[in-house]
Amino acid sequence: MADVANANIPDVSSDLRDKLLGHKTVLIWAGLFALIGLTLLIQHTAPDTLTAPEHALLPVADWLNQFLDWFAALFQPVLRTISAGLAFVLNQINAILAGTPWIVTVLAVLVIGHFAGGWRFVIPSALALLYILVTGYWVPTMSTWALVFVATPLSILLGLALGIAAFKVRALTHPITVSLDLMQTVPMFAYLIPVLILFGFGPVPGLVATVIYATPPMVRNVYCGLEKVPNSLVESGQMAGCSPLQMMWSIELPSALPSIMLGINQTIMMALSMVVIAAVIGGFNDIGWLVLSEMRKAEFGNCVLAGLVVVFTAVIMDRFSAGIAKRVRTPHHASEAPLPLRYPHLSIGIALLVGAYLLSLAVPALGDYPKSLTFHPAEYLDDAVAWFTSQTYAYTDAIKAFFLYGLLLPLKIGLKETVNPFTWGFEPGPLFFAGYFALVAAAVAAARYFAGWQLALGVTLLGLYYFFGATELPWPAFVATIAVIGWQTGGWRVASIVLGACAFVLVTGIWGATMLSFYLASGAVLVAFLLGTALGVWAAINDRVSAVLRPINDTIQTIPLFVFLIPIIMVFLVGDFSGMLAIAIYAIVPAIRYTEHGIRNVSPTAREAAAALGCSRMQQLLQVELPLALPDIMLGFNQTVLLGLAMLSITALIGTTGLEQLVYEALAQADFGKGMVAGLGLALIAIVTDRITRGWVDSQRRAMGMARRNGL
Amino acid sequence: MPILKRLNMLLLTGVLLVGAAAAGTSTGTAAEIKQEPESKDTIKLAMNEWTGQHITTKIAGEVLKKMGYNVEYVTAGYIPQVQGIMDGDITATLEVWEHTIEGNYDKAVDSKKAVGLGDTGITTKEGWIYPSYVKEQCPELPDWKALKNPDCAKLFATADTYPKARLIDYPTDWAPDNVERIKALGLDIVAKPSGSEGSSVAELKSAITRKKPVLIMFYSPHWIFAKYDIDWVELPKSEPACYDDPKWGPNPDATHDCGWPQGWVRKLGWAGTEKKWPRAYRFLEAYKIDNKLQEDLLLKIDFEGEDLDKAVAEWMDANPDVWKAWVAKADAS
Repeated sequence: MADVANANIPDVSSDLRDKLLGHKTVLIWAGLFALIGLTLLIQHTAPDTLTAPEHALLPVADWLNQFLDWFAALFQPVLRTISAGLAFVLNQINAILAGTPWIVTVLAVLVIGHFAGGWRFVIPSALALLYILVTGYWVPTMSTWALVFVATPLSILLGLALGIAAFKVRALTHPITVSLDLMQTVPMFAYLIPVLILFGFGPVPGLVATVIYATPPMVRNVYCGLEKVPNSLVESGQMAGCSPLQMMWSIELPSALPSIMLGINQTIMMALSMVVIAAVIGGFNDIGWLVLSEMRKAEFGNCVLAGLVVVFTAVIMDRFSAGIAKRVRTPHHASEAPLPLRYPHLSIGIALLVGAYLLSLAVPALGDYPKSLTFHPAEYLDDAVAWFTSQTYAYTDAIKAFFLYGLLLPLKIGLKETVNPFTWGFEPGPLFFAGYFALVAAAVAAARYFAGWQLALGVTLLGLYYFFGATELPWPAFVATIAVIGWQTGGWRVASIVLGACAFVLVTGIWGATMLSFYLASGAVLVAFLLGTALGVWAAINDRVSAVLRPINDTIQTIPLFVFLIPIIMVFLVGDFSGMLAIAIYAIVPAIRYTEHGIRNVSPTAREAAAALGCSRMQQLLQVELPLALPDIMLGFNQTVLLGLAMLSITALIGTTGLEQLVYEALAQADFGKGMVAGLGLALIAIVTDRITRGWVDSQRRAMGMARRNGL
Repeated sequence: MPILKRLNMLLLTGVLLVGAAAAGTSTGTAAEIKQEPESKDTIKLAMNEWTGQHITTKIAGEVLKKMGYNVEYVTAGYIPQVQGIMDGDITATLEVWEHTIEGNYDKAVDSKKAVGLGDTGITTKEGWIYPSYVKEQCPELPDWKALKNPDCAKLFATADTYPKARLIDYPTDWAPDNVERIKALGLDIVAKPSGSEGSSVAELKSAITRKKPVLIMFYSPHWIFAKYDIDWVELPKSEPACYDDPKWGPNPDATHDCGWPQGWVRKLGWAGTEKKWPRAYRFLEAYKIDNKLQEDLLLKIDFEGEDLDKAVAEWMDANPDVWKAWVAKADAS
């Protein structure tokens, strides 16, 4: 047993060392540092190195606008017809939901809850629904539900079709993958305008945008599920003489059902998260609109009350769909009982609902919730927040200042510009800078000694980044650095993706804004990743911590992006720190989860081997488990970046600068081209990070002799 | 400000007099106000994101209802509504502010799918505001030259603008032009967009709780002026020459070295409105409120917490002459 582990671990480092110390590698890294030094020296004499040279700019935004005009002229009539159809369906469903006596709707939800998870679902759901009724948000909530009920089936159908197509037609796999990446990374604000122009004003554009955003997880899960169908099953189907269609319906899809159900669950959550954001357009009196307009008015009490409705809805829909998925997965035995007894929920449910309906005819208060029974504690909340901020602002200001002066400002404009009497309390002299570089050098040496060249290089680059700042870095140095990292992790393929992405950002003239987004996202991701990994390790070695963290993680992931901002700006106000905080909280979850998962799944043989060699628990963790879990941890990093960027695009609402603000601005000016270019810039940051991380993970896994990860 | 208020009083008295006169001359009675509508289709009025606009819209809508029309209030984003009006999905929007979506307004009117319905009647003021207590630390205020004094500018500084002052600017989507003005006026100020109006108000509230200086780009009419002690920075008075002639104003080499001109607030409607609901169209054209009306109701709703519907209904009951005059004017034209 010990042999297995021993054979595994040294292999990793020796393989890497060989790769890193290769002749070419050394030359390339040396060249990179020479280039960085040179551009830093000449940047004040050559302003073209800070922003892209203006004569090289291409009017990509104009081209996009021309394309949209052409496209709209051609397809608008068709799309407007579709739009009218969707609006009809949506309005009907909304009318039914709003027209149904509330007591009937509440009971229906509770019966479904009991079906999905028994009494432990029923009671919290009842409380949540009671909250919605008492705060007086019932009618707009029904509108939001209507939006979700129309958007989700559309996403599910579209996702099924695309997932099957990607699986069956190999030529389509790659184009579909790229589209999914774009659908998930281009911020929704960027495509609201074209959708508005093509589909017309009203709730439909929001619906369409929601479908675009909510479909990818379905596609990915369908594909993943189909890929996992055992070969033996397919072969037996073929032997039985199934036609391709029969194969799909009676063998492959049923076998992929668990994955598909997971996809449905994720799709519902995405849809709910986006429905709120799509409310920017208006046209439907839904909860999203209320949250948004209260937030714009700084009516935080109202905003929190309406935001809680979204949170409760999200939790109900998440738990219910997960519970139903679980029931679907556990096979049922055909029962011989008479029909009503075979489906107890259905029959009791119908009886209950009919009874409730009749009762509501007799007692009107059970149909329309009486206004006199509502209680809207917004004022008390406002007072409480005002009191809280006035009591604690000394502390909150200190936290804010610490992160602003210690992390964000250095990453933005560099340590050399940050330190002044106002921020750090003194004017920096040569001694201060010498001390800083000595510290970096010590950190690099330590990294080299304990973890190898890779980390040492990483620390060097971070040290430079912290000193010079994203907005002050000459672009050739930045581009070259990312390209070399891409080459190192994923070969020429990834390096060329990096160069292509950088070229796009440069010629479209969004370099400056991209750097601002990069700085905020990287600062927030850094915090989320370090903290998340630490928590993940702790959760992996301590079951109690794990049990505490799990429901917190679940809740963070179910709360729609947008609702996050509310408490943060109440306490920390507008600006980059609030943006960072929102991003870090939202993006920390995958860092925790993947780390815990990775460490817990380290093969027991490796652990036993380490124990047999007499490693202490700490040694075992640092030298065996962490290195082996590193690929998983890095996948968590990848997810952290993706979620972080999703949140970044929303932080435009609280005054962050960068690409997200350009996208939001373009939305206001109805300028599709501008918004799309900036949106693509954000998408490219996500895609480049993704390719680099995956390239690294794959090379690690190859080195460890693990299989490559599958999936879209 | 007092002058403005007096002007408003005069205006209001004028409106009342005209209203009374109109009610007197035409044999206008309640019976005539309600008529068979030309079309039973619903007139859709856009409800945007701020309370002032809700008041303006709700009053017009309630009068239209009394005239016999079916009216619906559609929530609509400030920019998306223009597309809705061009397509006829929204019948009219009643507060389009100059300096914000002027460009979209012009584009919509030029497309002939939308028509301008004239002024809404409210006058706006835009500029830089600060809590009155800042004057204790910087006595030269409200004169803008006070901000030239580094000690005053430093009061408004934050970490990332130090030693320059920070101005919390309009959200970028409102297309502010402060960067140009700051440069033209030669001030050490950095303009930071707030992201949303709520964020600006939050900054103001928080600064006032802590008695800290803060400089914000803002507009009136708005309820904050009723609730807090706030002053405007007095910038050189705006004149057309300020924008055309660099020589005008304190900076001989730049335009934009002045405050903002008073902007218009207009109504915009779907081009098909006149044909479909001629009487409603004439009413929407005739409809004109003033600042006092809006401010009074703003105070009731945003400050005293009264319900919008209730406040508007009360106003309608108390001021039949005013709104009947609009209808009479519409019927006379």
